[in-house]
Amino acid sequence: MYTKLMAIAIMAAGLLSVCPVLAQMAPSTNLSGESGIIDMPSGVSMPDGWLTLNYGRFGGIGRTTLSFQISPRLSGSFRYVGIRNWNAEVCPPKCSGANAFETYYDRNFDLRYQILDEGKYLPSVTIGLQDFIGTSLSSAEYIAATKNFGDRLRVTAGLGFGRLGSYGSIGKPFGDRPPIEFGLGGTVNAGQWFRGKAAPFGGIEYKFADKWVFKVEYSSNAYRAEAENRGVFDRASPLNFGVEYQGNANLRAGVYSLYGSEVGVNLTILLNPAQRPAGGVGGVGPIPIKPRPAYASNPAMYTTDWVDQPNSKPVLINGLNKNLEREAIYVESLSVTTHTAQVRFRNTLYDASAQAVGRVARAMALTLPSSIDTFEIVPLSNGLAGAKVTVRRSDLERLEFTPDPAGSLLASTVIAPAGTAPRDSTYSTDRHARFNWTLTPWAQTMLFDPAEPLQIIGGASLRAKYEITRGVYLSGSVTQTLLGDFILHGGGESSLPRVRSRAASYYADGQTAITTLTIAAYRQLGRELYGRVTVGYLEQMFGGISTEVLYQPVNSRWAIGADLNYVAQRNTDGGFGFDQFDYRVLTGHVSGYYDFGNGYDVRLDVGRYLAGDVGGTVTLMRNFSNGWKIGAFVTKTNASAEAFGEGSFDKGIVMQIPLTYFTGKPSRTVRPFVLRPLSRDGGARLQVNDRLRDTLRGTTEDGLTQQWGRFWK
Amino acid sequence: MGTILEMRYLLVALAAAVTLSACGNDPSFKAYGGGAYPLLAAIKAKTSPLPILADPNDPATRAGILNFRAGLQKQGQPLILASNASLKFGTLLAPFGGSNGVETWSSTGYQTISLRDGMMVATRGFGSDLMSSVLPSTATIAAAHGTTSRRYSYLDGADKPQSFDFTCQLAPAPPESIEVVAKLYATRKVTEACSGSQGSFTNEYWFDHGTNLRQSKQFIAPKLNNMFLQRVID
Repeated sequence: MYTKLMAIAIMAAGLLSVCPVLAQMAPSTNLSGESGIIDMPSGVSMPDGWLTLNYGRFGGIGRTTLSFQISPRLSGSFRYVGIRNWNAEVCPPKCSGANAFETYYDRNFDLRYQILDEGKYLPSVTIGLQDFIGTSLSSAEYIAATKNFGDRLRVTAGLGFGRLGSYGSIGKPFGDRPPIEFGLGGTVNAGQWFRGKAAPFGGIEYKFADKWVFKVEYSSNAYRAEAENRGVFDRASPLNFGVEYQGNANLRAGVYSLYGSEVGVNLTILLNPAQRPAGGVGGVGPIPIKPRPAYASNPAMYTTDWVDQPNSKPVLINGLNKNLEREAIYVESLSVTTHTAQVRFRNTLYDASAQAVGRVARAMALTLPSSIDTFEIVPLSNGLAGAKVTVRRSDLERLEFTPDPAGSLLASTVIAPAGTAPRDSTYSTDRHARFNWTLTPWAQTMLFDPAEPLQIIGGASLRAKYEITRGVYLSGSVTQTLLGDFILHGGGESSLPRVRSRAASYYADGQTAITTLTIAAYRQLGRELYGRVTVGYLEQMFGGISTEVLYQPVNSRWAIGADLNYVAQRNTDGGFGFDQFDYRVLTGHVSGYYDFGNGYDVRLDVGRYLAGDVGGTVTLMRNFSNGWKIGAFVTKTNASAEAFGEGSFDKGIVMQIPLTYFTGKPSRTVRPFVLRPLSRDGGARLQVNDRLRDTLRGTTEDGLTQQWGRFWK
Repeated sequence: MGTILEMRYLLVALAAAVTLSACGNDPSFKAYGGGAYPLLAAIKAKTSPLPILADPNDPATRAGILNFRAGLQKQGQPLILASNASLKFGTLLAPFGGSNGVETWSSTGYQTISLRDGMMVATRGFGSDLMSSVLPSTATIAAAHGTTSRRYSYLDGADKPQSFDFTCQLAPAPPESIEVVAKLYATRKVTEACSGSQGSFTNEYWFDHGTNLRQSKQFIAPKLNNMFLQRVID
C-alpha cells in the first residue's frame, strides 16, 4: 500500500509538475488538531506563529487540541482526549485502574519537526511524536511526506509507529517496542520511539470549490484499545473521507465518514498572533507637529529669558498635561534648561510605548519655548524609568510628512538609560490622575477534573489603585462570584503542603473575596537597578511580604533579578484571616532573562517554591511585536514524583494576550493565560501583581523599537 | 453533557476573558473624545446630523442645506467636507496645524487628514491609517497627461511599516458642473488610473480654476473606498 501510494504520488508529480507554481492550498488540521488530513497527520506545517484551537469528535472520542507553530519547522500541541463508554464492555467484572472510568480522559503532548521543505519535485517531510509524555495511551511516531500539485491538489504518504503502526503493518524495521513504564506520568518515553510495528498511511486533499476541500485517507490506526477491546466504536474500514469548509481565515469546519461506521466532525479556530486582524490600531489622531518660525525670521521667539521667570516651569508642565489629557498620558515631571527639556510621563492608554512617546513629543513641540531643541522623553511605569528617548526637535519638524518618517527619525534618535529624575525637576501638582478603578466581568475556569473536565464560574471583579505618594501604591481587588461553582472529584492527595490543591475551596468558600489588598513601593535603586516591596494580601491564597530587585540594562538582551517573600496561607473564605491552615513559608528565586533577539526569550528561575521544595523553572517564550507572548514552562524541584503526585512535576503553557489584538483600539490591558495539565502543590510560585519585569515592559530599547512605527501614529 | 456544548463554553469563556466590556475610569477602558478645541466643538454642534446625507432633492432638505451653507459662510472658517463609506465616516474638517507645505485638517473626534496642496499625504485616527506617502504634485495632476508614481506606507498588524507602489496614468475627463454644499462650480476633471501589486484604483480630481482643487476622490488604503473630499469654505 505504501509503495502504491508513493508510486501514485511520484507519477502525479511527474504529470503535474509542468503546471505553473500557484498559491498552494492552506494547510489544515486533522481530528487531533495537528496539521494533517482527516485522522492522519501530514508532512506540511501550519504558517509560522499560528495558533490553532481544534475540536474533533467521532465514535465517542472527543479531542480538544491547542497547537502552536513554534517556529517555521517546529510545532507543539497540547491535547485533552475524552473517550466515552470506556468501561462499558469490561466493567463489571474488571473495574479497577483505568477501567474505573466511564469516560476516560487523557492529556497528550505532541511535537512535530519539518525536516524538508517542499520543492519543485521534493515533498515537505515532517517527523512527529504524538503523546510522547506520560501514560502514552495514544503514543505514536511518524514520518509524513506531502506534495502539492497546483493550487487544488495535495497528496500525503507516511509511515507510522505505535498507534499509527497498528493497522496494515509492514514489519518492525527498528525492532520491538518496549512496554511503557509511566508510573505517575510526566516522563518522556524515548525508548519506544519508532520501535515496533510500522504501517503506511496516506491521503489526498482536493479543493473542488472555493472554500471547500474534499479529503480521503487510508488510516494505519487500528484503534485496538477502543474498537477491539472496549467496543467504543466499530472499526469496519481503514478508509475515511469527508469535506471541509473554510469561510474565512479564522474558522474551519469538516464532516467525515470515519472507519466505515462513524460520522466525525472537526472544528478549528485559527489565529495568527503576529498580525492584528484589524491591521493598524485606532484611537484619536495626534496633534500635528507645530514647527517653530525660522530663527532668521523671528529671533525674538528664541529668547531664553523664560528660564529665569519663576512661574515658567509649572506653566509649561500644566500646558503639556492639558494637551495630553485626552490621550490619558500624564506628565509627572519636567526638567528644562535653555536648550533641553526632559519630560517623564505615565502612559495609561497605549499598548505601544513608542506611540505614547510620539504623542508626548508632539505636545512638547506645541507648547515648549522655541529655544529648546532637544527633547528627552522618559516613559514611567509605577514611577520607574527604563529608557530615555532623545529626539531633536528639528527632526520632528522636518520629518513628519517625509516618505519614511519612522525610519528617518529612529536613525537620529538616541535610546539610553534614563536613571533617576534630574534634581531640578518640577513635579505635576495634578492629583486627579492618581486614582483609577475598573469594574469588569470575571471568569475562572477549572480544567481537567476527571469527572467534569471543564468548569467555569463567573462574576464581577472590582479593582482600584491609588498612588499615595510617588512610587507608593495602595491597590486592591474584590471578586464576586455570581454564576456556577467548582466541584473537585478527587486528585487532591500529595504529601506536600497543600499550597495550590485547595484552589476549589477558595472559590467555593469565598464567593465574595478580597483577592488582593496591598501597599507596594517601587524605587529606582540605580541607573538600571530597580526595587519593589509589596505588603498585604498578595494573592488569593497567600499574604505577607514580597521583596524584589531587578537589574535590567536598557540596551541589553539580558536581565537578572531576585525575589524574597515571607508569606502565610490565607483562609479560604477570601477574608482577612490566616488562622485556617497555620502555614508559613519563606520563598524566593533568583531569575535570569535572556532575549535571543529573534522573537524568542528564555527565563530561568532557581529557588524555593511555596511548598518549601527547592528547584528551578525554565520558561521559553515566543514574543510578537504587537504584545502576544506564547510559551511553555517546566519546573523540576526536589519534591519527588511520588510527593508531587500524578504528572510528576509542574509544567504548562503560558500566553499573554493583548486586548488591542481583538479590539483594534489602544489599551494597556494584557490577559495572562496559564494552562497546566495538572495543577498541584510542587513547584508552585507566589503570584504577586506588578512584578518589576512586567512593570517595566515597553521601557527597554527593544520594547520601544519593536513598535517604533507607532511613534508617528 | 454533550462535548460540543463543552467546546462552546470554552469558546465563550475565552471570548469573555479577552473581550468583554467593562467600566471604570481606567483610560484603557474609557471612551474618549473632543472638547479641548473650542472651534471644533462649535462645528460639531452645527454638523450633527449632516443634512448632506439626506435626499438632496427634497425641498425641506434643500432649504436645510442652503441654511447650513449660509451658517458656515457666516462663520468664515475654512472647511473641508470628507466622507468615506467603507470607514462609515462623513464629517467636516477644520484646519488643525501645518508644516512644510502640508496642512492637517481635523474632525471634532480628532480624525485627521493631511493635505499637500489638496493631495492627501497622510491620515490619522482611522485605524488603517495612511502613515506616509510619496505623491505627485497637484500641478502634475492638473496637467492631465503622462504617468505618475505613488508610494503608500501603512503599519501592519505587527506595527511594522509596509509600503505599496503604484504606477498611474493621467487623463482629462469631460468638464463637469459640481455642487459643493449648495454652491455650484464649473470644473475641469482629471482622472488618474493606478495599478500595482495591491490591485488598482482610480483617483478623480475636479479643478475649479488652474490648479485649485475643489473636489477629489483619493485613494486611502487597499480594500477601502476612496476618500471623498470637498473644499466647502475657502
